[in-house]
Amino acid sequence: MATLTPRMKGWLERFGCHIGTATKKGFPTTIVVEQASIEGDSTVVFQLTEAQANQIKGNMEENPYVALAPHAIASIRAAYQFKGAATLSGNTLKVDLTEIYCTKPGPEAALRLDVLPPEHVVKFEESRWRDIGPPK
Amino acid sequence: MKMNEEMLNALRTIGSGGVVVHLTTCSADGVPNTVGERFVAAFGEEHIVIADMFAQKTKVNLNENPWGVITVAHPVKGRYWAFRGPCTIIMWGAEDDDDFHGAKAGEVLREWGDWAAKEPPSEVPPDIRPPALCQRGVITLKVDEVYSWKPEESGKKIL
Amino acid sequence: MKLTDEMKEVLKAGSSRSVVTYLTTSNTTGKCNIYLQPYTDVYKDEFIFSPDLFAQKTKININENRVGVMTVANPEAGMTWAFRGPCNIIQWGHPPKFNFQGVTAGEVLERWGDWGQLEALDSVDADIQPKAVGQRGVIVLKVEEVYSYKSEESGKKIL
Repeated sequence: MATLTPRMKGWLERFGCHIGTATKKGFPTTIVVEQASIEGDSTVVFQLTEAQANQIKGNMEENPYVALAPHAIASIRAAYQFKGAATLSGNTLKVDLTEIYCTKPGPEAALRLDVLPPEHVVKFEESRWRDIGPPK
Repeated sequence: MKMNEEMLNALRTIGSGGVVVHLTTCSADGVPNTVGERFVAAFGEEHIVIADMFAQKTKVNLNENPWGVITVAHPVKGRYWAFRGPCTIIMWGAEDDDDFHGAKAGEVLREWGDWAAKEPPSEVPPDIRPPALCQRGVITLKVDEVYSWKPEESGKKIL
Repeated sequence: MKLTDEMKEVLKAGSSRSVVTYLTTSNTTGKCNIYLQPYTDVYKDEFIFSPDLFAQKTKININENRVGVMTVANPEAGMTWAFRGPCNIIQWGHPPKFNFQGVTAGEVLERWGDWGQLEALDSVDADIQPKAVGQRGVIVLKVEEVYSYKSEESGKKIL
């Protein structure tokens, strides 16, 4: 399991994500959900519309892997990517995170964060961004 | 598939009044990768180009599974677009007349192969500005379809 | 760990006895990747440097698991060496004080950041020359052990 920091949680909850899904053979479909909730330190939950659930239902049935990239202004300020296995239950999409990456342009691009001790990740964030979360 | 005027006008860097987008690719066995991209533009009416500056898994994925989806991330302003189609990276070193679904490698590289010189990211705040840029090529997506990601109509065909 | 004079001689940039090498890295679940590397140099007797010209999976692996093994791909007699140790990519954009295992980004990039200044990158045959290169950084391997991959003694510690 990958551990979310408070900064990650704040941006995810406020702005939601672009959610990349795919067939087992790799044909992609992306949906966008504009807010999320966090369960514990490693699970992101999205409430989908009927249209969104129907759009990715087939993919979820054959391939649970999803990639999450923060939406809206968070796409600029919260340069992370989260990956994990998702379960779609009704209109609720629950993603148990197993990988977290920094996608900030520069030498840290694609740096895997979940393999570092959580306190190191927090220090990394403090050294790279001037905010500690989304604006109030 | 030809994009409409509104799309062509929006597909430019955010500093020029355009948008930040997310590009989704996936491995051949279906593991997706979704990353934000600020160096984006329309190339002609049927292609979208993105600078290959920091692509890693995107490149690995496109090398084994040449498909992508580009979604508008910010600012949205009613532009709930998801562009899907064949996708590749035209690398420096490609032959001039290499053709990717109607886009010639030489023309793409001459126009967008040195993005930082053409459109330096000077408007980006210091804490999120890339400290050094080294472009190896141009990610190119041929638009085959456009669907809406608007939550209540997600998946609805636009073009 | 100090390399021997013979090791240093064949691994140094521009050496008349230069060797082609392979760099093996792995992701955190053990999936390995081998990257062909014809260009190397030695620093402080214990670091092997090489340019990041086309690294893809290598970079992804190093981003999550900083260890590598470099083996000599076309050994002259007796050079069945495998160098293992912490491995990272120091990239353009790292702050000069960024430190990996005792070397800083400033010192590494200043001297090795443009490998073409150290040795001709087009010294290989024309048909296998890369048409264009874009160096994004320097792969740094700190040698902590050297073992032999000679079939009858594979794994035997050399240093």
